Amino acid sequence: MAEKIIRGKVVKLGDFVNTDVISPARWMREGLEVLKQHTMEAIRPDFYKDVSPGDILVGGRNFGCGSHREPATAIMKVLGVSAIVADSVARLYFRNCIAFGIPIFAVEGISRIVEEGDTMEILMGDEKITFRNLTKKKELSTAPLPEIMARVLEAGGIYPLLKERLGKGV
Amino acid sequence: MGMTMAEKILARHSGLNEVKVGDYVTAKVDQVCIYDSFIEIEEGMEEAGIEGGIRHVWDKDRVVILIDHGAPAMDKNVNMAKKHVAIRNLVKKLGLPHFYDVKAGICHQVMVDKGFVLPGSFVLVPDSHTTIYGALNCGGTGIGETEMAWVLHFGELWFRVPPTIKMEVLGTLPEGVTAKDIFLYVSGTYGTEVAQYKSIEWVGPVIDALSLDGRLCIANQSVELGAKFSLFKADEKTLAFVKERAIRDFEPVEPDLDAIYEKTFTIDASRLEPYVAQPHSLEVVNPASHYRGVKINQANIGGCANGRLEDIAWAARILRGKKVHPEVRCIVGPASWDVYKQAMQAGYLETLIDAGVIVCHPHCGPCTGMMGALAPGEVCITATSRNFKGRMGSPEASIYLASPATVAASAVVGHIIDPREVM
Repeated sequence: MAEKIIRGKVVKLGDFVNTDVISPARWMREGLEVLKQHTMEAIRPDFYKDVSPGDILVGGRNFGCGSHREPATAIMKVLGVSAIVADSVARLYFRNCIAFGIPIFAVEGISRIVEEGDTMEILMGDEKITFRNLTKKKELSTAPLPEIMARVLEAGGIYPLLKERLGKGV
Repeated sequence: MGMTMAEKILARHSGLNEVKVGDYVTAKVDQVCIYDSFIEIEEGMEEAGIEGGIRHVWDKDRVVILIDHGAPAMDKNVNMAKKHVAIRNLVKKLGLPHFYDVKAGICHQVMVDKGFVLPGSFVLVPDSHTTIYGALNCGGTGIGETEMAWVLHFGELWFRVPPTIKMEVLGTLPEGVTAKDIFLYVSGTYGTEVAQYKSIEWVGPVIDALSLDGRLCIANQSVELGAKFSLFKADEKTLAFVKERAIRDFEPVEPDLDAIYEKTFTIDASRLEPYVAQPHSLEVVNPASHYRGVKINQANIGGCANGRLEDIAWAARILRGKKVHPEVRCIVGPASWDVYKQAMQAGYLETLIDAGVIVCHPHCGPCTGMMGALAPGEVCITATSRNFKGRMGSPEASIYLASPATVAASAVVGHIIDPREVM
């Protein structure tokens, strides 16, 4: 995979941001534009006002734990989040983000080297992925994504990949 | 090299003799089940420009469809009702034979009741609690609807082979302490990431002695520990239950004696107590006695975590001849109509109704807030799956998670109490 760079302003949340918080059930079925106004409201009201397209969302432990609900993933696209990086990410949330074509990374210690408002750069290379806090001049790195995940991400998610495969009559 | 149960299931379904931790495999799926969100797959595909949405299903016999989250349609703005119509039309379009509509109950219990969950098999559902099938020695795990679109077409999906941890439960469970308390103890002691990206194998005399209902509760709740799989060996109890309902042949898996475990946790069950997880985390867990006196407005028992016969039996045992506290609403929701009927035949439902319990029809509502939403400031103690902020309505409500016994006992006295005080 060619080296890819994601750069954005950090919006930071804490530990255990679960999918009930990201996508409250009572707003989940009212459409994503309505849900957007209520995402994270249990822990941070008007969260959507703090997020600009291109921002990088940084979380603490077990980001996205709980229900598999996909609106909790889809809402990140509506908010324009360019990548999610957390100390650890719940398995299903991780899978869903890849399936939606949203770059997501579990990077132990990331919450200690970035703060809200910092500018972060993610360099996705063949050998490793580097997470640079350009504001505070600190960085961490992890292993590159496995090939299968990289392929899904590059295609923009499962649906574009499925469309491509079906187009080939497979 | 020896393999764990998770490794064997993934190897078997990927056509490989051996897999090891960290390998990526493409595994063939034995069965899927999709609930209310089925229509979202059709919509998602159409939005992505895949003309005609779902046009092909790899094997219709391997697809179960039902409606359980909002069943029957519960919204007066009829969005849900319209969605259900669309689901019925989609089922007809594809000619899917296993469709239960709103009439069977909660997906995971229906899958178990109807014999779709088999030892050694591999099952995917777009739902986090799919780990429940491990109780029957079945590799069950959750995916999203988007990935399910892929599975529906190809019948396979990629997986990473997870490391396995062993949970060894020794001793005997004291009276009044149940499977739910084992889960709460693990969650509170080792944290909600103890099994992140991992498979759990549950072993030991206490696990052997547990009923299938108890094992199903633990396997269900294991996703709250981060687990990808939560597996139990298939013993006589498992085989007796499965054999009379299995829809196809099956072959259980057993771990090899030289299988490699990342870590083994040993729990002395004799020292366990009835536990309560306090709002809004499953990591802050204390003995029920620690919360004695916390006033409650609502007490729920049900969902795919605790809507089985043994759970309802506990509620009936505690509530027999007693009344639910006048300031408490107690809701009991059997997980399926099969369970409902068993509870009725056993006389449990009559006991509960006499005690003033609201016995509701089988659906996900008691766990999701669709049945008994909480107002700001209200307190609920629940034997369902989660105590997350806002899960059952207002984010200003408080949810405590406990066993059916603890919930029923608290419903009687109007505040949280160790069930052994009222038994």
